[in-house]
Parts: sequence; structure tokens; C-alpha cells
Amino acid sequence: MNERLLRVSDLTVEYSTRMGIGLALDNVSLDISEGEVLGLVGESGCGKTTLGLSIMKLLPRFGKIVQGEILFKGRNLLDLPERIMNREIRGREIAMIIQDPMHALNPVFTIRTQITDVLRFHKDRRLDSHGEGIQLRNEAAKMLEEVGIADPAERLTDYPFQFSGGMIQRVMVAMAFSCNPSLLIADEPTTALDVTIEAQILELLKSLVKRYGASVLYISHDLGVISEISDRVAVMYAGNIVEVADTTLLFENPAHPYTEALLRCLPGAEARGKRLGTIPGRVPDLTERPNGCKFHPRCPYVREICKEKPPKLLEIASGHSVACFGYKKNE
Amino acid sequence: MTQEKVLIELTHRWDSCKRKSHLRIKKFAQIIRVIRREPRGLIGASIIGIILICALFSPWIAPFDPNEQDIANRFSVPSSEHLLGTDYVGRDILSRLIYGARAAAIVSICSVGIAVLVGVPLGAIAAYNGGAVDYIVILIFDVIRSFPSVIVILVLAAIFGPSLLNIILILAFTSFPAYGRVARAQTLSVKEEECIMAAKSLGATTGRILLSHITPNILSPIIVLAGMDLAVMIMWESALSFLGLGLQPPTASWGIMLKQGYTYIETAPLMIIWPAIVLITTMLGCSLFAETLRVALNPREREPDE
Amino acid sequence: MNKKRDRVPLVQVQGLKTYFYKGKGILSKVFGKGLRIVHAVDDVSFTIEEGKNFSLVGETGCGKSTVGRSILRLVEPTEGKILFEGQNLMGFSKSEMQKFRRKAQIVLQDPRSSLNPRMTAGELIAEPLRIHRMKKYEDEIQDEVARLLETVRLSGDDADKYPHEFSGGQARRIGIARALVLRPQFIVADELTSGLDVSISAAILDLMQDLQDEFKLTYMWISHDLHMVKYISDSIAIMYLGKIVEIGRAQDISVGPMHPYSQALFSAIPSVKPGQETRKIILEGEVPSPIHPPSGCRFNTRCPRKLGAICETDEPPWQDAGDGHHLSCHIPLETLRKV
Repeated sequence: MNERLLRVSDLTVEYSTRMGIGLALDNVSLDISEGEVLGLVGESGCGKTTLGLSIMKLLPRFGKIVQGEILFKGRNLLDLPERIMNREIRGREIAMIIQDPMHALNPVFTIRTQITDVLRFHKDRRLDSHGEGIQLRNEAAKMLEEVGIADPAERLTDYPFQFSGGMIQRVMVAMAFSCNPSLLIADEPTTALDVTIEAQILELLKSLVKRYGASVLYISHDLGVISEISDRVAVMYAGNIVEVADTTLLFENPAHPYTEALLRCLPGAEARGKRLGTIPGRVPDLTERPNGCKFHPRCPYVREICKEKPPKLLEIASGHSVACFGYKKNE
Repeated sequence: MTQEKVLIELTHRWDSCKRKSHLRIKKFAQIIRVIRREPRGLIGASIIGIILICALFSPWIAPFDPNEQDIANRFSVPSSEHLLGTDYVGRDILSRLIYGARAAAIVSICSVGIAVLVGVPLGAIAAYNGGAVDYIVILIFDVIRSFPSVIVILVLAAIFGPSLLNIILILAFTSFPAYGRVARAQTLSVKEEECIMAAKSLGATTGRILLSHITPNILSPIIVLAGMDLAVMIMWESALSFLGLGLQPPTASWGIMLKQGYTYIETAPLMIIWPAIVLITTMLGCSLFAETLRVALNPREREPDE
Repeated sequence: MNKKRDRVPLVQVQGLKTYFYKGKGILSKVFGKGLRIVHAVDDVSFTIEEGKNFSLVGETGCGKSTVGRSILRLVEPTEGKILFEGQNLMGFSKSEMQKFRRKAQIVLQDPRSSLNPRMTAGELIAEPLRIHRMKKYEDEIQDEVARLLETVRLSGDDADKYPHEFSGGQARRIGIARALVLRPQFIVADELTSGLDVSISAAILDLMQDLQDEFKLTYMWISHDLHMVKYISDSIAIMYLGKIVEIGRAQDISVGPMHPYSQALFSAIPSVKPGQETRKIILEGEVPSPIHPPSGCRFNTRCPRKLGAICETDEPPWQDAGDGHHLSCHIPLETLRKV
């Protein structure tokens, strides 16, 4: 019985840039179980968005999956033809919410048109009769109500520019859940929103996830949000997953030096008056990634072996994996 | 300051200038790279290059004197001696075309140049200051633009008489509002940008802001417009000369050649075909080049980002 | 504790109002909605002591950025007094403002747009020196530029690079270097760390603190990042729709915000300590438009502790909770303290 909803194995993605070819993802493996929220956290350039896009096979023109497997409910998505991917997977089995609400919807169509579009496509409905159109409209209104938009019937006739950022994200959430997906990929949905609106959207997501029993891959650079919403967390750095653990465990007992350093950078009220811990050096450019462990030039615990070969992601305790030579298993 | 100090100061300033120009060259190199990559750019640049060379070095390139008549050999077909044949008084068509490039180049470059130098500052200052100044300047622009340029050009040419200077001024007069409009629109948007506010916070005066901060940021669309306009101005020069309102014979101008060839179109069609081809090719070259500039100045390729 | 010196506070803002007028023309009156006044900043007062960190927090549209720009007169205030070292900026002539510019600087939020993309980092940093003719010789200017680049932990070679060649964090440092050139006393930092990665943000904060110690600077932080604000501030003011709803010492406000909006705001920030589930106060609805702010207390349309009709009709009074902690609410303090 395949417990794992999603299993990514040894995924490698290349980007062609003017400066050469760079590895956006380097042998990345992770899995998500049914009903689980996996948080994917990392700073810019680490590849978390690329991972989300790869699962949906929506990489930009200059990106290419060169190796790996993405098993979704047992099927390898990389083998599926585009037609099937579009018809069965995208928007139906796997839904996605993106970061920038202002550019997520088509500005020249009403909200009603955009929601019913999704419903029509995935539920194989045709606007044959007037009655069908009314039914779809009612469904759309119900969806808006479910995500907490006031006066849903009237709001349907609005255009996206008449909605605020928070409301558009609600619409996106509604559209994402409209076809009862098994997996939701949320790529920084609240980064562009104010704190109080962010809280609203997170609450909404949590309740809908519970109601529909969906799994979530929640991508963010905000450690606070990740800790609030995830069951497990995967930390990424420069195209690699460096640590995976249950949320509580990760924040209380970070194993990887990068995770450790990252947590020390957070300004907390207790640190008043003291300097924050900073990480020396810079995130390496896409095309200039170091040999061996990509973090080694900035790691306080660096050893010779770290410069020679990349560490594998291995389990050091139940549910806790790290990619670091500092742990015995990795020698 | 003592003499020594002056010298030292000048050396330092010179060094800074050199550094700055090295950087500018780097930027140009990037633009040139784009031009070389796109086939449009190569074609456009080559055509313009050829025309410019013809214009600059006509006496050395042209095989014959453009006004040298050879009645015995008039209407001759292309031969090894006269590569494109001769016209109705035996003048070498190729040489006349080469010299004609001069007229085309001078008129187009000068008229566009004047239009830019007048229109851009007017538009920028109007947009930056706003209020009454803006209102009046726009009024001027709109009044000039509301007349169909064809009519204005023809009427003014008829009034002031044909001459090189007149054509240049008339063409500049009818086209400067377009640059003013573009400069104004660009300034209006650049003016709100934070770097302008930052400059103000540092204490920069209006003049400095306009000169150092706004102008470099509004130039791209103006350069592209100018490039496209060059083609149009070349066409105008020819059109006016064709109608007898521009340069006068015996000056070698493509327009005049078109007019003279028109008379003999049935008997010696080559007389009109050659200048027509050259005119079309030149205009095409300018347009292609301007289009490539537009692409080069707008960073359309983006680095993949997360 | 040091002896309290009897000095005039560095910055005193009293009754600041900045309104923007939209739709002034005739066409707007005939075809459009007529004259609309955006009450971006509506009667804001606060004081900043020398050497301290004052933070202004709030969400989008609350007017905090406008406050920052108004007190430097980058945006002309409509009304109010802005006292810098005791003198009212509103009465300054052009040349007095020019001299003031050297003492107070702003680092703007978006380094991409606040740095002229056509100028190199070196030119950008040197510009204030040239404007104010502070250095006469070219080599002195270049030396100063190099020195400042080093101060913000960039290298001297970066002077010849253009802004787009820098990363977000580095570009922000250039903005900071440019603000420091004139050796100001007071710097407004507008969303200095927003949009930056955690580690880069930490580095910038450390840099700012080092600079503060070295150059004896006074900072006004404008931010919506409450974690950062709690960490770095000496005093905090919370804004909503153009008004300050609560103001006080950082330690008081971080531990116990009393205004219903502050309480909701501080409870909403995601905490990195899982298990420490603070009860979140989720606000209903959206922020109203600053063109038509609600009457009475501006927060009444979303307030979870709304008293009643009085919140819709009357402006809430200022209440003093001691030690410089003030808030504006109809609910009496004792009730508010019981969260």
C-alpha cells in the first residue's frame, strides 16, 4: 500500500543562464504523506520554488529536469505526457497557489468567469444550457463564501483590481480547493500580505486543509510561518535539502549547521542589545556552486571531507535526517 | 591653489573621467552584443553603415563626378563602366546615389537632432515643474501636432522656399512635439521614483535632478524614436525634393533622381528603380536598427531567479 | 542609570498631518468622484530622544512611510510642527533646509528604485559630497567613497558597479553608505529589512547597530516586521489608518500591548517557538480606505473589543498608562489590561 502521496527521488534541475548552466536542484529527494503539511524553507536562490514548479512540470523555458523521479500516487509525473498532466493532475490532483496575488488572476475577466473556467475544465461541464451557467455561478458563490468573502454573489461580478491582495489569495485558495486536490503546493502565499491578513489566510488554509484532508507542500522563507503551519520541515540550501525533521524537533534541536545559523539570525525579543548571529559569506551563485558540501565555505564546523564530496541526506534519529559529515552515519 | 595642486586635481579628475568612460564603453559593448546577435540588428547596422560611409566619403567612393554629363552615353544600361547605368544626361547613376546619401544623411540627422534637442528638454522641464508651465508647453505641442504633418511641411516649404536649411528646420519643427511628448511622459513616471526622492533628500537642486537623474533615465525610448524617425526624415527629404520643394537640381538627391526618373519611366525605368531601391533599403535599415536598439535597451532577457 | 540630561529631544513631531489631494481638476469634478482627500497622516505626535531607536509600525496604508518622509519634508506636510533640535522645520527657508539635509537622512525601502540605475555605486555615494561641496579635491572624494564602502562592509572595487549588479542586501548597504556620507545625526530607515533573507537582514541590523555606536546616530525605524521592531527599538508607536493608536517604551509594548489593534497585530506574528501557541486574534474584514476613514475611532469596523455606538461617533481619548505609555481607546485601561 503506497503510503507516500508524493515521493521525489534524486531530482536534478538545470537552468541555462547567460553565465552558463547552473544546478537549481541537485539530487533532491523528499516525500509527503497523505494529510501531512510539509514546510519547505530556505533563502532566496535555494531552489524551493523550483522544486514546487518541477512537481507541476511548470519550469520556465530555460529550466530542464535532467534526472530523477516524481512519484505521485505511484505514477511518475515525469513520464506523463503534457496532455494528461494538464487534464488530470494540474488543478485537479495537485493545485498551486503562488506568491504575488496582484498578478495571479487575469485582469480582464471577472472573478466569476475565472472560477467557473476552472470548474468547467475539471468537472467536464459545458455551458450547454442556461441552467448549467446558473448552477456554476452558484457553485462559485458558494466557494467564495467558504473562503470568507463577504457578499459573495455580488463580488462575483467584480474584476481582480477591485479586490485587495488578501481577498485575491482567498479566491486562489478557493480555486485551488475547488476540485478537491490531494496535494496543494503553496509557494509563499502570504509573503506579500500584511501580518493581520496573513494570519487570516493561514487560519483559512489550516481549516480547509483539515476539511478536505489535503496534503500541503508549503514553501516559504519565513521561519515563523513555517513553524506555525507545518507538521514536518525540510530546509534547503543552494539546491540541496540539508535537513528534514518534525517541526518541533527542528526548531528546538537543529542538526545542520545552516539551520542552526539561520535560527540564530532571527531577531527575538530576548536578544535585545546583543548582536545577531550572522552567517559569513554569501549564498553562492547558481553557476558558481562550490565542490563538496555547498555550505562548506561558510560553515563553522568545516572539515577536509566537506570540501571533497557532497554529504548525503541520512537519518540520524527517527524522523530526523541531515546532510552533513558532522554526523557519524555519513562517513 | 598652487600650480602643482591644480595639476594634481586635474589628473584626478581625468582619472575619474577615464574610469567613467570605461564603464560607458562596457555598457555600449553590451548593446553592441545584442545588435550583433540579432540578424535584424546586423542587417540594419550594415545598411546604415554603408549609407554613412557613402555620405562621408562620397568624393572618394564615387567613380564619377555626379554632375559630369556625358550626353553621348545617356540612358545607357548597366555596364562595367557605369555599374548602374546613366541617366537622361549621361550622369552616372551610382555616383549620384552615393552623393545622394549625403543629402539624406544630413537632413535626417540634423532635423532629428534639432527636434531632440528642443523637444526633450521642453517636455522634461514641463513634466517636472507641472502647473502652468506644463499646461503651456503641452498646448504648444498639441497645436503643432494637431495639423497633419504633410500639410504643414508642404505649406511651410512652399512659403519659405526650398533650401537645405529650410527643410531641416521645417522637419524639426513638425517633429519636436513628438519627442516632447515622450520626454514628458517618461519624466512624469521617473519623477515619482524613489531615486529622485533620494536625490532630493540629499539636497539636490532641480537642475541637478533634471540633468543627472532624470535625463539618463528617459533616454531609451527617445533613442528608439529617433532611430525610427531617421527613416521617416529620409523619406521626407526625398518626397520634398521629388515635389520640387526641397533640394534643387543639380544637387544629387534621391528625391530629385526619383523625379527625373519619373519623367522617363517608360523609356528608361532603371533611372527611377535604382533610387527607389536605395531609398527603400535605407529606410528599412534604419527601422531594423531602431527596432534592435529597442530590444537592446530594454533588458528583455532575464536571469532565472528563484 | 545615567544622569538624565536636560536636553531638547532631537526630534519632536506635533500634530503632523499630511493629506494628498486627488482629483483636483475640473474634469474630476464633472465626470469623476470630485476632490478626494487621502488622509495619509492625520494628527501624529511623537518624540525621539538623541541616540535612541524609535520604531513606527503598522500595516500597508497606515501612513508610516508618509510620516518618515514628511518629517524630512520630502513630502510636504499639510499641517503640524516638526522640531529638529528645537527648531521648527516648517518655517525653514530653502537654504536652511539645505543645511538641514546634512543632518537628517533617509534610507529608502526599495534599493532598486532608490538608487539611480544609471549611476555607479561610487557616483551615488559621492553625489552628496558634490552637492554640498564638502570636499574640494577629487582624490579626497574618491577616498571618502572608498572609506564608506568599507564601513558598510562592501569592497572598494564595488564603486564602479551599477546597482543592478548588486544583490538586494548589498544594494541596501549602498543606500546606507549614501545616507552616511554627510555625517548626519538622524537617519530614517524605511523598511530596511523587508524583502531580505533572514541572514542578510541580520547582517544589516548588526551593521546599523555598529554604525549607531560609532557615529552616535539616532534612528527612526519604519517597519512592519514586528520581530525586528521588538528586538531593536527603545520606543514603539503603532499606527492605523493615519493615526497613532499606541505609543510607549519598547519593553512595555512588546510585553503587553493594550490597544485592541496592537494586541491583534502582536498576536498575529508567526512565532518560531512551536508549542508556544499564543491565542491569535484574527481580525475580520479589510483595512478601510484612507480616503473615507471610518468616523469616530478608525478601528471600529474591525475591533474585536468594540464597546458600542460610541466607537463609531466619538474620537477615542488619549489614555496614559504610565512611563510614557499612551494609547487612544474608549475602553478604560483596567479593562484593557485584562486580556
